[in-house]
Amino acid sequence: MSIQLVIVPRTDDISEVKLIGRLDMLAMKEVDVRFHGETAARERSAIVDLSELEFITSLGIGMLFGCAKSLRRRGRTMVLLGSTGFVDTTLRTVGVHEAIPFAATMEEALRLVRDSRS
Amino acid sequence: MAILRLTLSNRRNEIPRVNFALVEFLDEEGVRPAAINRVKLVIEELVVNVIQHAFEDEGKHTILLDVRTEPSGAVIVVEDDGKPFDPRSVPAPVLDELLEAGKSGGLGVTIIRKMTRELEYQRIDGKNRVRAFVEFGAKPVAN
Repeated sequence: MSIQLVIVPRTDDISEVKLIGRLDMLAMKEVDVRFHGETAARERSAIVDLSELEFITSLGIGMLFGCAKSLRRRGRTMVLLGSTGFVDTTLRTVGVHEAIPFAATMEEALRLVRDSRS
Repeated sequence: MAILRLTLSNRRNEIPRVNFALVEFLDEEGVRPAAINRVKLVIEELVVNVIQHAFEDEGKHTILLDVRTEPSGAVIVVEDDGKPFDPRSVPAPVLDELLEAGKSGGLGVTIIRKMTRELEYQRIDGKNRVRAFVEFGAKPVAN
């Protein structure tokens, strides 16, 4: 399996999920529906931890966009947390950081979620 | 200088075979992992674009992929017999509009453009031929 989606339990009103591995064309089949279910389908803002994601293609970026859009339409936000290395380079090369907020730490991610509510 | 030549069908399940062969080939050539990822990403975007958009029928088509290493980078050539498509002709997407639409249209071509130093297109004998050069040591083109 090239991708894992880990649901991180939280006691507040935020969804937290972690993507581990490679988010390429084949991985999309494994993770797309579940990722939507755990983020866009919930009445909560979402923090998506990318710190252990090693590779992403335009299809994976499209998945993030799709969920971020659903949340935004309902007054929620999505924050991308901890992207590094090649994934961070790819996301910033495309300009994803201009459309979806990035956070380097969980504290920053939580602040961005709080700020989006005010 | 070495060459990897693959003949693919227009099916998604070809991607793992491409990735496996590519990593093995570039690793044997001593290419650094970060550069391998860059070449791999450009090839996946090129090939997926052909598989998803080039053919108007459900029939089987052949895609030819050549990867040639040079001291400073990799020359990638992708050929297909699909409808004409010049990746250089697609306007760069406006990210906020994509986000509003919840789509990824044009992102693949944006990645290809920004990760390559050269991008050429020809239509020859009813076939698309895209040639890209990925520099091993290069940083992506800034926005």
